[in-house]
Amino acid sequence: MANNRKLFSKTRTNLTGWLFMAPSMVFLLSFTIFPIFKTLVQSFFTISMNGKTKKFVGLENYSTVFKDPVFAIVLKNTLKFAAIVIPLSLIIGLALALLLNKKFRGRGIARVAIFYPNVAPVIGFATIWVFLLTPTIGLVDNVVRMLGLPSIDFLNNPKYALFTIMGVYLWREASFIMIFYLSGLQNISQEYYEAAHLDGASRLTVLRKITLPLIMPTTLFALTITMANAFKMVDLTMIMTTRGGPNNSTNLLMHHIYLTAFTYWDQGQAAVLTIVMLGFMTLVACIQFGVIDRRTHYEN
Amino acid sequence: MQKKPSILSYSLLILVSFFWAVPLIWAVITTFRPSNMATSLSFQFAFTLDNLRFVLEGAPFLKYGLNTLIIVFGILGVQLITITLGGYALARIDFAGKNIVMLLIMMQIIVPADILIMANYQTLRSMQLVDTRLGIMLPYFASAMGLLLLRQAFKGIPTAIVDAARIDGATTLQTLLHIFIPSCKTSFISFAICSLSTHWNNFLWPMIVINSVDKRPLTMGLALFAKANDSGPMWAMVTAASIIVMLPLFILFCTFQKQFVSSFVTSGLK
Repeated sequence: MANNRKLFSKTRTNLTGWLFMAPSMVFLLSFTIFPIFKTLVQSFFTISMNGKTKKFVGLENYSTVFKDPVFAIVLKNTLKFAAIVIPLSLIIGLALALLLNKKFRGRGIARVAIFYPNVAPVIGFATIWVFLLTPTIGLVDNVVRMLGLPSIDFLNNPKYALFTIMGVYLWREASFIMIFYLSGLQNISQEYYEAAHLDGASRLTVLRKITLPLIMPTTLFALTITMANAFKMVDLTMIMTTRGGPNNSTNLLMHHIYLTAFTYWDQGQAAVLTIVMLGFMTLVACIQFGVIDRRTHYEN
Repeated sequence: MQKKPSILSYSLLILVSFFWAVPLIWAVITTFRPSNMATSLSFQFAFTLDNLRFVLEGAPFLKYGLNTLIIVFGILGVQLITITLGGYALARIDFAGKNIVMLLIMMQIIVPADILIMANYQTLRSMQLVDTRLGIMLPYFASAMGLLLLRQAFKGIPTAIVDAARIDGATTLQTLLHIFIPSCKTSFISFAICSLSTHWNNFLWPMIVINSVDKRPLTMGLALFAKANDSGPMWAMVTAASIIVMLPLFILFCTFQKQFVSSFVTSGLK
């Protein structure tokens, strides 16, 4: 009898739990979990143009993608973009935070002036930047020529286009990372700085021996965020370039997935590319969970 | 909050803030002066509202704005229900299979729906939801970040209060409505800010889902408007359109600066 009642109450708890969980699970399963497996399956199939017949082709889509010279360029661009933009977001973000983490008049205005790119759609700013960077009529080109430097076609010269995108991306991302560092800096006890001051430590020593080590947890957290953002970046190139051009010089992985899936309508290859993207995301996750582990050690 | 800055770092700061603000300043200047001056560097004073008027007459930005509002509040509304219920179950109900649920949630943290554009588009197609606003919203109705945020918040509520309510005969739903939700207001606000600003800014997904002009959200409307007008004097209009699209969030941000920043910091999303 008592056993029965226990069983009844346990079933009831399970039922309530799943009932509460159900709305989330329905959408989570249908738009994240199921699509992951579907993409994996699709990467082994080709589909006829009319979408009616599916054919198992094993690793053929993979070999097509990996042999494709455009994919080589896209991968190189994506890695180059990540390799430059990730460390710079952190460094510039920290520099901005150190600069702003002081008491002075107009600090609120300065914060808004630097952080505002993050509160409005990327699309809006991307459009304005295209205007600023247009040769002859754009503000940037005008300033460049006023300084007596040769005029540069920032977005249409394959040599500069990707770096231009990086610059605009950093303008937004570094100021986003800044707010993490600002809140991290506020958690560092003033006593350390006072002690260092008494000992006559130089500013550089204070930065190296106190600020940087104590801000490490923030750095690791910000690293995972900025990594994921860098690999997923697509909005800027959608607006500022024509199909990742010129000559694919600004074509990044997410943009390439979009083009393959919705402009070239090649489902098999788009699936392979999505799997590559999942690989990058898993890499970020490994670091993220590594970070959480290390953090617990830190606190112990 | 450290000592006062030296003259050097103070001037560096002013320089940096100015540098960061240039695009906005220039966009505002361009928007409010005659379009034939858009490409000139002179600081001659001239003021006009023509650019804004032409934009509002030339493209249905008010309609786009309404669509954006429907989409962002539609998503948020459903999310609030799914994450409140789910967050409560994760924090307070000891049900079988919770580990699997947590694993699936972590999978969404790692692989956001933004990446799975092709598979999700196919799902929408099979549900005949392509070119609908509901189609834009659907993939975002479950939020892993929101679930984790509320699980954490709900866990922090003292058991004693909940037990007291139970003894007084409150049902689960009543405790949820009268104890859990009111005590976690800040978490809800944080979540709402992140959700609204993420989906206000979303561009790629609406671009894929929507074909009809009258269902476009602001971001998509702006992108297409800019592509159609990116030459010479039309820039004044394009800039004016950008300002129109950015203004609402920007005003919200200036009003609730602290909440914005703290919710971005806790979630890592913007």
